[in-house]
Order: sequence, then C-alpha cells, then structure tokens
Amino acid sequence: MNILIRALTNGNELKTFSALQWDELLRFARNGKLMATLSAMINKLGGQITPPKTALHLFAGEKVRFDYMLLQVERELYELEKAFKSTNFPIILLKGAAYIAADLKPAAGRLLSDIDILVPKRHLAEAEACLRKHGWQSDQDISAYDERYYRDWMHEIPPLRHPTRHLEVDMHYNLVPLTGRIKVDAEMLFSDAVKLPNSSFSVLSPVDRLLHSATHLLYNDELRGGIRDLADMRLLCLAEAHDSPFWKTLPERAKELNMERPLFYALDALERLFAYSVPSDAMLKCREFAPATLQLFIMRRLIDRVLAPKTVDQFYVPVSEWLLFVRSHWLRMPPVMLCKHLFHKWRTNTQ
Amino acid sequence: MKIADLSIRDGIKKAATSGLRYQAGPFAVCIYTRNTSLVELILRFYNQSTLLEDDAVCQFHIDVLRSGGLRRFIRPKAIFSIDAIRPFDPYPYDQAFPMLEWGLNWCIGSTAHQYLILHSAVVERNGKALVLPAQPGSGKSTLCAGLISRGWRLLSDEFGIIDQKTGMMVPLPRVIPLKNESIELVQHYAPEAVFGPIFRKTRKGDVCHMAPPPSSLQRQLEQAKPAWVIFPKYKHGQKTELKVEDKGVAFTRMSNNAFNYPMTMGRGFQTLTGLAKQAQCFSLQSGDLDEAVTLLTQLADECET
Repeated sequence: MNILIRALTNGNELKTFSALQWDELLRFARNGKLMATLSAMINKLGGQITPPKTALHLFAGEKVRFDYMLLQVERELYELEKAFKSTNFPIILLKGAAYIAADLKPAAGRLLSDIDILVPKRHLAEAEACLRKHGWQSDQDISAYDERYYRDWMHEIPPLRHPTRHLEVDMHYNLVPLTGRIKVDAEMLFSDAVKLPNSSFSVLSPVDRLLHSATHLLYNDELRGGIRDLADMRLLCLAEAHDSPFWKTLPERAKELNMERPLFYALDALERLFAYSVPSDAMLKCREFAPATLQLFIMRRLIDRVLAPKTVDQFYVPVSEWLLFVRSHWLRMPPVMLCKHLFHKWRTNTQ
Repeated sequence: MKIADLSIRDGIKKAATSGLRYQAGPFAVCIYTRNTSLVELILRFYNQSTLLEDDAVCQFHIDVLRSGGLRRFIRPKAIFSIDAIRPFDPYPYDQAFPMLEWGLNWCIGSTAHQYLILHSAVVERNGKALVLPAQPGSGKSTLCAGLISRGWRLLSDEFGIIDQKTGMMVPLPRVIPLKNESIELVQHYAPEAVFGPIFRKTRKGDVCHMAPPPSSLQRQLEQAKPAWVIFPKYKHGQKTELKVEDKGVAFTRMSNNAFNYPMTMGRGFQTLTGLAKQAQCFSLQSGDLDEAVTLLTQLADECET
C-alpha cells in the first residue's frame, strides 16, 4: 500500500509518521491532485495530528485555492441555473460538481477543473443554444477536425466557457463515447436520477454515480483521473451501509448499463489497493464480470503501476501509460476509425 | 549549516541521490539532477543559504531531467518536473539554470496562496521595506540590482510576498535575472557583484543572473515592514522624477499587479488597502539608473533623520 493510500484510509497512521514519510506523502498528494483532500482529512481529525511546519504551509495555500474554486463552482452553477431557467428538460450534474452540489462525501477538498453536465440527447441542441445565448463560448482555436471529433464520435460537445469566468462546462449527452465498445442507454440514467432539493439540477442515483466514476476512470484515456477517482469511489462506497440495497442493485444495474467490466475493475482495485472490503455477495456477482486470466493479470499490473506506484521514483510510467493510451483508444473506436484518427493526430503533430 | 559548507563534489552527489535541500525564503526546496553545471551554479549563487537535512520536509521537490530518446545526442533538452507534473515544455539542456529559476517561480506562484503575492521587487534599508510593483519591461530588475549594489538588502526581485496576518514583507532572496541590454548596464554599474554566465537566446532573450548579496541570504528569514510603495517606469532619456501617487490609485495598481488577488477574496482587499494607507506611495519615472538609485536612497535616508 503506498503512503498516500495509507494516510487516506487510516488517518491515525499519520500520528507516527517520520519527517521522511511526511515528505513522501506530500509528494504523492501533489502527484495525485489530492493535497486539498489530505488537508481536509487532517483538519477533520482535529488536533490529533501534528503535521510538520512545511506541510501546514502547503495546506494553508491549498485551502485558499480550494475555497476560491468552491466559490467559482457555486457561481458557475448559479449562472447555469439562471441560463436554463426557461427549459424543461432534466440536467444532471456529474462527478465533482455533483459531489459538491449534493454535498457528498468526496466533496471535501475535491478539486475540479470543469463542470460536467448531462442533458438528454434530444435536447442537446437546445441546451447548447441556451448557454451560447447567455454568453458561453467554445474555444475559437478549436480545429475543424477536433470539432468533428467531438460532435460525431464523442459523448460530449466541445467545452463551453463564459469569457469572464474560468470554469469550463462540459456538456455530455452520454457517459461513454458513441463509437466505443460499450453502449449505454442514457435514458435509463435520467429515469433513476435524483432531483436536488432547492435546485433545478439532478444527480445520478447512488448506484449510477459509482458506475459512472468507474467507467470514467477505466474506460477513459490513460486512467487520467488517477488515484483521485478511486479515492472518490471508495468514499461513495463507504456512504452505503453493508446491508444497503445499494449492493444488491449495483451488479444488476451494471448489466443493464453495460458497465460490468469497469465496475469489476474498480471494485477489484478498491479491494486490492485500498484494502476496502466490498460486501461479499456483491463482489461474488461482480467477479463474473472479470476478464480472462491473462487479460486480468495485465490490467491489474497496469492499474497498480499507474494508480498506486509504491515509491516516488515510480511516478514516471511511460510504457504503462502508453499501453493504457492505446487501450483506451481501442475501447473507444472501431479499428479502422482508430487508424484514421491516429494517422490524423500523427500528421498534425509532425507538421 | 550553509550551502557554502558543502564541497562541490558532495553537492553534486546529493543532487544525484537524496536531493539537494535548501531554504529559499519561507520555502524548503529539494533539487534532484545529474546536471553538474546546474548544481555548481546553485552552490555558487546560494552559498549563504541554509542547507537542510536530508530528511527535511520540503514544499517543492524538483527534478531537472535530461530528455530521453535519440534527440538526447543531437539536441539534448532539460525537463522541469515537480512530482512528475511537467508544467512546461523542455528547455535546451544548457539553459537548465534559468529554467529552474522560472520553474520555481511557477511553483511558488501557483501554490503559496496564503500570501498575497505582488509582481514586484522588494528591497530594504534601515529596517524599512520598499515595494516596487511593476509590469514586465519597466526596468524593475535593473533598478533592484542597482539598489542592492548600493547597500539595500534584497528581499526579492520577482515576488512581493505579503504575510496577510501581519502585513510584513516576506523575503525570498534569489538571483536577479538581467535581460538583454540591462546585463551590461548592471555589470558596469556594480562591477564588484557576482554574475553567472550569459544564457543566450532563451525564451526571454539573453539572460545573465546577478547573485543575491551574501548578507541578504543570511537574513532571509527576517521580514520587513513596508514603508514605501513605488511604481517604477524606465523610459530612455526621461528625467528622473518621483511623483506622489494617490492612495486609491496605488491600491488599484497593486490589486491589478497581484498574481493571486482574486483568489484571496476579501482578504487581499484588506491587505492592500492597509498597505496603501500605511506606506508612502509614489510613481517613479527615470531614464538613468544611478539617478534613480540615488533619489530612492536619499528618500530612505531622509526618513531616518
């Protein structure tokens, strides 16, 4: 277990940390974009932990940045709500924005760089027009190829941003790329969504939230969300009691949404890396979603190497990351399309 | 223990293994690299800084790497990496030192938000700090180099770091990167100062670093109370002139100049209005380094009498 995961899973361990261990912990936290999360966790433990002066110094700066980000998120959500006022289709907040708006466990110290929303596909044009009317714009520099890449192949439109504000809005109409190996019926997500009180937004149901985070981490490029996404998932799981119907629904829902494989990888990683014990019935069902032995072996190696390096010297993982990059594209588009896409990217990069 | 107490050989060994750890103002920095000429420059410029123990907890762990692949033999590159995050494109390998200095600026500017950080030089005389907020190209570094060669203490050439609890200026004495024509000007004006090699054709033109005075490094934990805020503007052929700046205007100029003003939310407003009220505010126009240095030194010494 690497030192960051040790600290996140059992804060009491920090009491016995040496200077060298703190030093290593802070490096892992920065690398995993979890500095503010770590700081929030230590704050919650109150005076029990006495971090070294340098750590407190970093946490103090991080707190200012985090509070400012929260303000920006609140502002952007407020503006989005205003812009969507006259519409009557559901709007679902995803991931970071959902955790913050619904005040879920992973919200503490969770940094986010954009607001992800999900709208029904048949209302996509209306939703986009709505934001553009209220001043949001897409990047002027986006190439025609990238524009087409988004619109024809992806599950979202190019990011929109209001020129006077920082946060981008990523408008999705599905959780996975249209061209990908797995197909998800987005309508099902809307029928289970949970309306937030005193807000015009909804969030995914608890089960769908976990499935989305798993799919995002394991089917998107290069496991980029990294250890942070896995830490989110652990907290989403911890929010559910072991005898909760959540665990019975989870494998069934994964089948309905075609998200069995990412769910398996995520729970498997939580058990192995975070020593989190998934209720046995649920885990038994999910093991049926596992790939063949060799594939499982390789994937576990890649996940461990990229998400939970043991020492700071292992932060660089060029080969593993390259393999994951290839895999994510392989999952995302059929072979012929992939060849065309990689050829185009190679040509534009070498020009 | 000071960096000066370390032999060049041991310094190179440290940088290649446990990391070369030293104090840079309020920050503990750890450098890992196998680039020996880079280590030699660090040891030379920061010889009076405190060398930290090998298990000192550091804010910034910076790797300066050599690029891999076949290109390493033809046109090697230096890569800046903080905990495997690479915030910018590699530099030519022989520009590793300017890259490290700019990279450290990036680290500080993007994390140390508990402070209000002005884009400003800060120097001190008789216990009072002079804050020089400026836009790039206004001659801030040149003026700063001139002042410290005439007895002022260097707090910082780049960052006016304000402790928001106390309103005190926090020192971060580092090398002063002189650019293009100001290199020769300052070398002529301060011949006794220590200068590094000239790095030609960097992203910011030719750059030559002036070493921070040893006494400024020795006193780098000593904060100073700001007494003057002066907005300098170099203009060729301009008569040297100090004009009182309206407090409201001074506040506005500083708030536009602070890197993280929006992020500090209401607090930064309190800090800057406090500073504008407490300090004497001027704008300085000058076309001559010596005249400007003399005028500011007179201003500081008149206050004493």
